[in-house]
Amino acid sequence: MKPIDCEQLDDYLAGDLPCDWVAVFEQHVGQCPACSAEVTQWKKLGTDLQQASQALEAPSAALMESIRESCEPTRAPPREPTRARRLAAAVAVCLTAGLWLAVIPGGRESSRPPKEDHVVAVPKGPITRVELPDNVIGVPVDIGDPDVTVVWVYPVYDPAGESD
Amino acid sequence: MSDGIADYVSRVYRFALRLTGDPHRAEDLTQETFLRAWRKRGSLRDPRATRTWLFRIAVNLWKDQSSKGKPDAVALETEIAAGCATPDQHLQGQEELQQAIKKLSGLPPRQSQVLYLVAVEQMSLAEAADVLQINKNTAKVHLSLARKQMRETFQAKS
Repeated sequence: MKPIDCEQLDDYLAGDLPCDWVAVFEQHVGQCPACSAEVTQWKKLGTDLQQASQALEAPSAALMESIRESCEPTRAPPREPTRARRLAAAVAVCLTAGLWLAVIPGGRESSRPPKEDHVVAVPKGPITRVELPDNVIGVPVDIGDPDVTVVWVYPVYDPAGESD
Repeated sequence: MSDGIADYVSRVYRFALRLTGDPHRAEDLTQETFLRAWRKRGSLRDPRATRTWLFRIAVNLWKDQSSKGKPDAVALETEIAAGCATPDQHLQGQEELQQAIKKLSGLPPRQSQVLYLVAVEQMSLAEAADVLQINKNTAKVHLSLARKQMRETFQAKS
C-alpha cells in the first residue's frame, strides 16, 4: 500500500479510493488542514449544487403530466353490458360474416397473401359458438370487456398454392 | 403521478439540462427518455438501477440527436439569468443558488456532467463513467478539473 497523503484526495472525493484505504485517508484528513478544507468545500459544493438544482431546475408541470400520460395508461374500468352494446356486437358479427362470404368464396382466395385483418366481435349470450372456415385462423384478443369477445381473423396463406 | 416517477422525471430533467444546456431541449430529451424507457421497460432487470438506466438512455438519445446535427444549445446560464428557470422567486439565498448553477453550467459540458453525477446525484465515479460511456480515469480527470474550477467560486464567496 502506498503511503496515504494528499495525492489520494481526488480518489477519495471521487469515491474511488479502495475501501480499506478510506478510513486511513480520513485519519490523514483529520491531521491535514489543506485536505480537510478541500473535503469540507467538496461536501458544501455537493449540498449547494443539490439544493440549487432542485430549487431552480424543476421540470414543468406540463412535462410531468405529459410523461404521466405516456407512462401510466389508464384502462377504463369494466362497464356493465348494455342493450346497445350487445346490439352493436351482434351487428359486427353480421357484417363480418358478410365480409367472409364476399372475400372468401369457396376458398379461392386462400392462396393470396394476407392483406388485411378482420375483427369479429361475438357477444356472450345467444351466440356461443362461431364456425370459422378452414382457410382462416381466429385468434381471440383480450380487450378487458367480459361481455365482448374480439377475434382477429387471419386468412391462411399457402405459398404452394400461389405458384400454381 | 406517483412520487417515484415524479422524482425520476425531475432527476432526468436536471441531468438533461447538463447534456443539452437548454431547458426546452432538456424537456424534449426527458420526454423522449421516458418514452423509450417505457417501451423498453422489460429490459430493466434490477429496479435499483433505474436511475442509472434512465440516465444512460438520455445520454444515448442525446448522442443520436447530436450526431444528426442539431444546433448547439443556448447557454443555460443565459436562460437562468433571464429568469426562465427560477420558479420560486421568494427562495432565500436564491442569488447564491443561481450563482452555483451558473458556475456549474459554465463548465465545459463533460466536466459539468461528471461533477453533477458525482456531487449532486452521489454516484460513484464508475457509475458516472458508465452513464456517460467514458473511461473511468477520464471521468476522474474531468471531476478534478471541475472541482478546481468550482473551488474558485466558493473561495470568492467566502
